[in-house]
Amino acid sequence: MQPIKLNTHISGRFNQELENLRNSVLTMGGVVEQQLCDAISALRDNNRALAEKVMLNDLMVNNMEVQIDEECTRIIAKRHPAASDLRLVLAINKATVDIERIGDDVERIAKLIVKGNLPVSEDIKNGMIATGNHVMEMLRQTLNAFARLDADAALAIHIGDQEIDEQYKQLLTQAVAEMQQEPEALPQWLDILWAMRALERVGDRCKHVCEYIIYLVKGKDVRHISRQAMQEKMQELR
Amino acid sequence: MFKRLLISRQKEGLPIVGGAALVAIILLLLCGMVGIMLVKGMQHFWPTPLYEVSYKDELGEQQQIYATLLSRDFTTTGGQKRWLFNQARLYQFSDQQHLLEEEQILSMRPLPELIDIQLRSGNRLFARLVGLNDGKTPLPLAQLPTQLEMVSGEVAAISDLERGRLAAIHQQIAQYNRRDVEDEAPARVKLEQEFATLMAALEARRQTLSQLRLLLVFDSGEHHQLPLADVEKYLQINQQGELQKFATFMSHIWEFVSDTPKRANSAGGVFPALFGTVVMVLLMTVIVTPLGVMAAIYLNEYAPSNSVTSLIRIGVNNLAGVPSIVYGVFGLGFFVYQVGGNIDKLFFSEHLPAPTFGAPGIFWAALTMAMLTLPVVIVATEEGLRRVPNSLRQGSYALGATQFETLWRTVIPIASPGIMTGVILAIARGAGEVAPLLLVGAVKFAPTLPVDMEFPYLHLDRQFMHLGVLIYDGAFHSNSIGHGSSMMFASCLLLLLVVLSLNIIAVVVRAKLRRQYQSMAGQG
Amino acid sequence: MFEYFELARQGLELDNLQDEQVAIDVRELSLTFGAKRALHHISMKIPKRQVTALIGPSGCGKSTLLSCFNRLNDLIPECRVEGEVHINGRNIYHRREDVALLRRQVGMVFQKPNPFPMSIYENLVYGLKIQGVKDRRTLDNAVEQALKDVALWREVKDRLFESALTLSGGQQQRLVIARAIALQPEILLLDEPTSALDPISTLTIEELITQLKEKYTVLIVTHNMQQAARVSDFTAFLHQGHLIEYSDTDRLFTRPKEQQTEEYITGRYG
Repeated sequence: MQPIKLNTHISGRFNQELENLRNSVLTMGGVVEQQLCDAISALRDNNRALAEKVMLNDLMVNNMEVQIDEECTRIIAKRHPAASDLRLVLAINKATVDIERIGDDVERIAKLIVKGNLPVSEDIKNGMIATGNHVMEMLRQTLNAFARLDADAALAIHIGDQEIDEQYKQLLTQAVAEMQQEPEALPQWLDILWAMRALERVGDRCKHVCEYIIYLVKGKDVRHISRQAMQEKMQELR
Repeated sequence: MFKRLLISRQKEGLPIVGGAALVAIILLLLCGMVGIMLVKGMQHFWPTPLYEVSYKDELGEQQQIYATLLSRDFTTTGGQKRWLFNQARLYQFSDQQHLLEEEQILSMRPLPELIDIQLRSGNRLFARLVGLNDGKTPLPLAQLPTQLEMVSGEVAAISDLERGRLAAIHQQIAQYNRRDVEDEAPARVKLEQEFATLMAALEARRQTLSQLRLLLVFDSGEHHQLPLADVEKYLQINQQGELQKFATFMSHIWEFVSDTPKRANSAGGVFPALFGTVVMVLLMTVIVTPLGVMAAIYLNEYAPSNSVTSLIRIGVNNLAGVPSIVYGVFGLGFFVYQVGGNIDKLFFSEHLPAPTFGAPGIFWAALTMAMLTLPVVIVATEEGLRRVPNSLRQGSYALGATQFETLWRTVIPIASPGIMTGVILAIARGAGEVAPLLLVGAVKFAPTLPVDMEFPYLHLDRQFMHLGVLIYDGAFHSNSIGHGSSMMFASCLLLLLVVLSLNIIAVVVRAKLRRQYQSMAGQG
Repeated sequence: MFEYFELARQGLELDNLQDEQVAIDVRELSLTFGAKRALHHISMKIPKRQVTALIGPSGCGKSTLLSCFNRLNDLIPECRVEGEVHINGRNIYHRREDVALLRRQVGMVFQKPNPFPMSIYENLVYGLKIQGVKDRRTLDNAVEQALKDVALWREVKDRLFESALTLSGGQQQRLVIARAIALQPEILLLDEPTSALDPISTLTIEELITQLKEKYTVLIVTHNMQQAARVSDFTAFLHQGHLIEYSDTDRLFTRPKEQQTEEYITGRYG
């Protein structure tokens, strides 16, 4: 597999279109990243106004998804992309779905803050912020890997998702322990559990985007297989 | 501004106008040529009135001739017009022209009794018709047409008998002579008796025929009794109305086309020449087409594209420019003397020293003309072959056809319009050439046609007559400027028509082929 | 892997073709025009009853390679071939090969429709007549069958004796395919068969090609990569006389192995 060069088409406009498409995904990713960052700040500072802004901004993310989808359709219809171009368009098409979902997850966290259902326990809150920061770092790296079309980085991120899962599990155990202590606050806890779950989902979605990056760069589908098999596949495609 | 536009337009227009003018001049010349041919040729056929002309000769004595007027101002000297008359008299081989000054002429009367008689001998006679009798009693002149018809029938019957039965008996007797059959042999006696009786009967019939006579008065004033049997036809031109004249005109044309020449090709028809021309051209076409086409196919399809091939091609192209007389000499030297001489030695040795094929004849003529027109056919055919799209050849090969099958089934049919173009050009060239023919077989007068009912029907060794030769001969050797030369123009016209109609046939064939094998040009 | 859906997937794998699945076996084929080498050591196995497309930039030798399979290159004087091409177990470049017979087994259709300027009927029986078939009924049947195979029968059955040039471009091209089919070949070589046609006729021909696959091995040279992607099962990419990549079409058009292939099919300059 050769490194993918997007800007070497004979048709300059096609170059431009693909470049724009990729940039718009990165822009969308950047917006979502900022959303996540804001949501975590809001969580830390209990900043309701910021959380409301995050909820409002999610509409923008949704619109972005629709626009990128349209552009993908247009390129497929008009340019008949093949090989890496085809994979790029397909990967972007799928990645935007996941990025948009990340936006939805972030919105869920923000909703928690707007509702004022913040966890009482500082431990849980700090755990959530730590996980949130971790997830944010992962999203940033994913977007970087996408920008650089770096399959190895994507694989590393994919493997790194395990840590988030671990953190989530710990957080969950902690939460369950605390829930038992104050059973009357169960409805509140449900929202908190949702938010925790959303953080974990962001990690999963980053993982998916990484799979698309690997598909885009290596031309192999690495979904739904064990990490072991995935690593082997990456090796054979080298 | 306006002026400048005008000037620039003039500058642009000049080549166009100049070119158009040149084309117009050329067209005019062409039209003029065809026009002269038409007018002069048609004059030959249009009946002119007969006059009784009285004039004063140089001695001041009054003379009288029966003549047609050929020209009112044949020459003009010092404002004096000279009139040209054409007089035909008995026992005179050709017509006689009289050039009279305008003021010499005393009177010109188109007498209705004046008659233009065509004799069986080929001679022509102008006289005054005064009567008809059957030896003793005069007959009414009105009976003349029916009597002539009867006499003509009788003459034909007699000559049939002479050529048929009588000739057969004669041959038989000659054979007996050769075999030394005794004079008293019964078969011979019987034959000789039959011969005698036939001769006697014929003699009797001739006698009765010769009784019928025309009473004529010549311009010299002499009375003469002309046997009706000697008359082939007559024409009382001064009695005819316009419509009858037109009928005469048409019959003249028909006679010209269908009759044999008379009086050293200055009268009568040109049928043998017409026939000879057509047969020669057809023979030439039959020879040159396969030769030329095969040569072109070899050059274009089979020959390797190297310097030798292009040398050959240049040679072929240059052959088209060799003067035709050179071909004539070549034909005489090579075909007639070499090839023909050897054929005679091998196959016709019993006739030697009289040559069979070792003398000029229609086959050698056709062969020589075929040589002459070969380059034309080769060049045109090659052009046609080159225009066959390569994709069709490939298509044919891809279906498993060999090179020959491809050629035969695809390339040649599609190139056939091109081949026909070559043939048309060859015909046009071949029909008009005279010079080489004079050397290899065309003659002023040939007793027989190259094609007749006798085995082998097509006599390749015979000499033949040719329109072009006739014209050439007429132009050079005719001492009479009058009738003979108008016949020359008529022959020219006919030659033009022959070439034209041969061309039209070929063009029609080509158009048909084109329709059938539509050119692929429409598809690129 | 277990298959859930009946998706149009290539079942054959080029790497392990059985001998009886191979229609043309090209072994180390090289070709030179005079001093210029047009094909370099090409080896490939073309599977039977499949559509194989040859793609590549102009002058890459794809048409030359195609005409190696019915030895139409023989017509070019300075063309020299090395290596072997096996069809039906015979090396067609063997010196005793009957080229006319070979060309009947390997039909060819060209870029521009080239019907002979004769009637439709005459066009179709051209090859059979050359073969020496004279029986009218055999010819009639062959004509009908061939026309039905190319879905032209309904359109022309009433005008069989009209000039083939009265047909439209697409019809002409189908007629030319029928003309090749009438000889019952095993292999059909199509040299850019739609490059002179309008889009609708192109689609008809493409549809026809996918149907022809039932009976014949089809090789198609095309400039139109989308066409190769649409109609072919296998695709070979040639560049400057070299066989760069040869694999099943699905793979070649989604994830080609070689960079040159990638650059060509995605429209990049190398």
